[in-house]
Amino acid sequence: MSSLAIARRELLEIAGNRKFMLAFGVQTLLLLLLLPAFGNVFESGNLALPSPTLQGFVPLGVVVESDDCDVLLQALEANRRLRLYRFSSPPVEELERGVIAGYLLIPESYREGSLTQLEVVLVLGGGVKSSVAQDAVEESVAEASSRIAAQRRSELELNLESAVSVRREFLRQVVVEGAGGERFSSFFLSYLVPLVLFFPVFMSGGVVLDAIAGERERRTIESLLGAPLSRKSIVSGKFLALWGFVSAEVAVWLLGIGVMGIPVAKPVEAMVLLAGVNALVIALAMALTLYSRSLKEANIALMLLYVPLFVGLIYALSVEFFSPRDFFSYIPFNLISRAVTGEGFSHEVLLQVLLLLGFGTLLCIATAVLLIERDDVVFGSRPGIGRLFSDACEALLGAGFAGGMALALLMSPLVFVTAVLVEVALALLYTGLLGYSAKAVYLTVFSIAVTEELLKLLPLRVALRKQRSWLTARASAAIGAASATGFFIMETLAVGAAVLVVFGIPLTKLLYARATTTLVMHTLASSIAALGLYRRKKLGTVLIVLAILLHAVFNLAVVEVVL
Amino acid sequence: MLGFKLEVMIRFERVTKRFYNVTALRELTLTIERGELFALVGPNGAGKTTAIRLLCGVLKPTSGRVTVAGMDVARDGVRVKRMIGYLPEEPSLYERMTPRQLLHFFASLYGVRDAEDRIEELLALVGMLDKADVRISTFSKGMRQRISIARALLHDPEILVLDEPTMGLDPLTAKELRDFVSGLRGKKTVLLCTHYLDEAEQLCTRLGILHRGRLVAQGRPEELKAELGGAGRDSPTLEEVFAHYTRGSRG
Repeated sequence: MSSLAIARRELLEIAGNRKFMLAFGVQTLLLLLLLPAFGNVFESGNLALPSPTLQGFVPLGVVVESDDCDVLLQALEANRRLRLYRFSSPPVEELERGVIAGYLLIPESYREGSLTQLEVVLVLGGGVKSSVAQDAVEESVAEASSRIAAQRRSELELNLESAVSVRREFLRQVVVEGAGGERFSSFFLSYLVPLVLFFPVFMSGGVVLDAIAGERERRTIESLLGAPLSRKSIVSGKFLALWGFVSAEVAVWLLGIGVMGIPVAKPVEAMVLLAGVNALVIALAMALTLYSRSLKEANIALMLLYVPLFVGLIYALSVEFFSPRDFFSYIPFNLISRAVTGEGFSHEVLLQVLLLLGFGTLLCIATAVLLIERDDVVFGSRPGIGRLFSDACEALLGAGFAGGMALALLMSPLVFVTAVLVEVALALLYTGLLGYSAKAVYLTVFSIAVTEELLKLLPLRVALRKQRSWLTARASAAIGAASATGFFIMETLAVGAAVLVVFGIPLTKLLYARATTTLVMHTLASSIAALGLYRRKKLGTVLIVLAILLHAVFNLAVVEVVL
Repeated sequence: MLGFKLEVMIRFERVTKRFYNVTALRELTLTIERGELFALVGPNGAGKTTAIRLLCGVLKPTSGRVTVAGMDVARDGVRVKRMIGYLPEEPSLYERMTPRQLLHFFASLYGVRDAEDRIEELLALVGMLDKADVRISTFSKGMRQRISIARALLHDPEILVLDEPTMGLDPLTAKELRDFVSGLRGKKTVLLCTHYLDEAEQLCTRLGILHRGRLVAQGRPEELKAELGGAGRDSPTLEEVFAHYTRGSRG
């Protein structure tokens, strides 16, 4: 309840900020005016804005060779998006000049009275209007088709679902001052439109800054902290408001783009995905702003977030445009581009990306909550990373066994990255000294076992140092196993991404193979090593060495199988 | 016998608050009874605001605990905060809102029933009814303070916590405010934090002197004076008492 009250107030604050609302209005207006103009430039090289009404927005040539095509012609004429021009022969020249978006050839064989499958040929130029033309023609053809099928059914009781099919042909090159017109047009759809759709999230920095750092700077946060609500609900309320506002902005823009006749192939999917991206960026910006000491520092922190994000967006869209690959669809920027063009878009990938975005958002919100719970953060003195880490460990371990398990899982990214760095360094050292030999391989494999077994003990070491009464031998083994599971998840994700790129093997398959082998080894070895660390002394050392040997033997077996 | 028992409303039990290596409050132990008007005085940086923030749940103690009507502020924060009206040192208000919008927002946070009527009543009380729909950004400090008071009283709290309520106000408004607080004696429990000694003496039933994060003295003003005066001497002023306990705070 209090989260909603906070969210409501935050929205009121944004709406009451005249400068911000003015900027939003001007941007939206400019977008709606300029984007179609860009479309026209890339499509046909002229700067004319489309007519404000959509009536007859798309000029389409029609070449009629058949004398029995009334139903189809009626349907085409009734389509308010099309403006029809009749030609006696294929108007290739007009198409090349960009006078028409495409032309529809109704061949002599097309006879609505006959019982054969009918076919028309749609020849398209490149560009936005040709996409709209295709969409409109398919709509008219479907309508005509169902009417013809209905006629036939009533006359002859034939059960035909569809009577007419459209064969599409693309005119590859529309020349616009020496450059490939089609390329420019697809550039417009797969590059410019997605870029524009990301603007609201880049502009979200202003509202986030005002909502968090501004609240702290003006000291209004003190009355919120004194009010009967949890600090958590301040974060969640603000997040809801900011997310809602930025996503509404995206929705308005998407709608505007649709009204302007720019064909976004999957508008709903694009909206959902953009909302997911907005959530992550806003949550991250909120955590960063909270961690900053002042408005100025928060400004710099947000710049450090948004600038690389923007560069990343440009880079991702460029890669998507020039050399699209399946793997790139996992990058949200690329996936938006695919949702706009409709090419190479998959709902399965969308779901996976949304899950990842959701997970990231939750992590950032959890961080923001942890930060706002700290008095030093709220009252403007920023604690160092080391202190934050130590306090977080203290809090988690204070929560008992479950907290210890959570600590082990949460530390796994750190453990994994450190392990990879050490392993790569050692591998380079061995190959440098011994060349690419069997000896170097075996040494590397053994070093991996040592590095990973020791590093996976890190969470338990932290726990043992803080000395908790619940930390028995059994609990230590469980923390070891949890650390190993976290490590396994990180490893699988990293290896999974690599094999997906190189071999195209999906993650699920890999997960099954590894869960039945590597996971068992990791948890077993780490539990033994954890017991060793808990016991210390001679027996402890023996157990840790045993764990390392187990890991090394497993690694050797894997190397034998692979090589 | 008097026929009633004094009830402890606010209790600080060996409360310490540290920010890194700075200790703002050291082992503060203090009880305030229901209906009492207690003043915390002390030089700048003595830990007055920290103590108040700990009571209001704005800060969390590093060690020790603060209880209100037997409830731990750290554990039952939400319930305790419903009992407290807090007037911070700076009237920190949302500038883009009007007083009415602001009070509505806080009414929803505190779950105030019949908010509309209560807001009208309070705006009339602080004399801001005619400015109810004007943006706060156009207000003077005194006007802001009035809105801040209305906000603190919105949910009719049992305890009122006032941090330097008259600082920066013109003499007339300050007097109005003092009269208002004085009228609360016996009806509400009030913790007042000030460095105007005459204000503390005039208003409070008891006072505590904080110095460098420690409570160095507490009692009725006359008790404190008598304690210092000793036999055969003129009774010292409260200023002298204050100077005695906080000696060495400057220079």
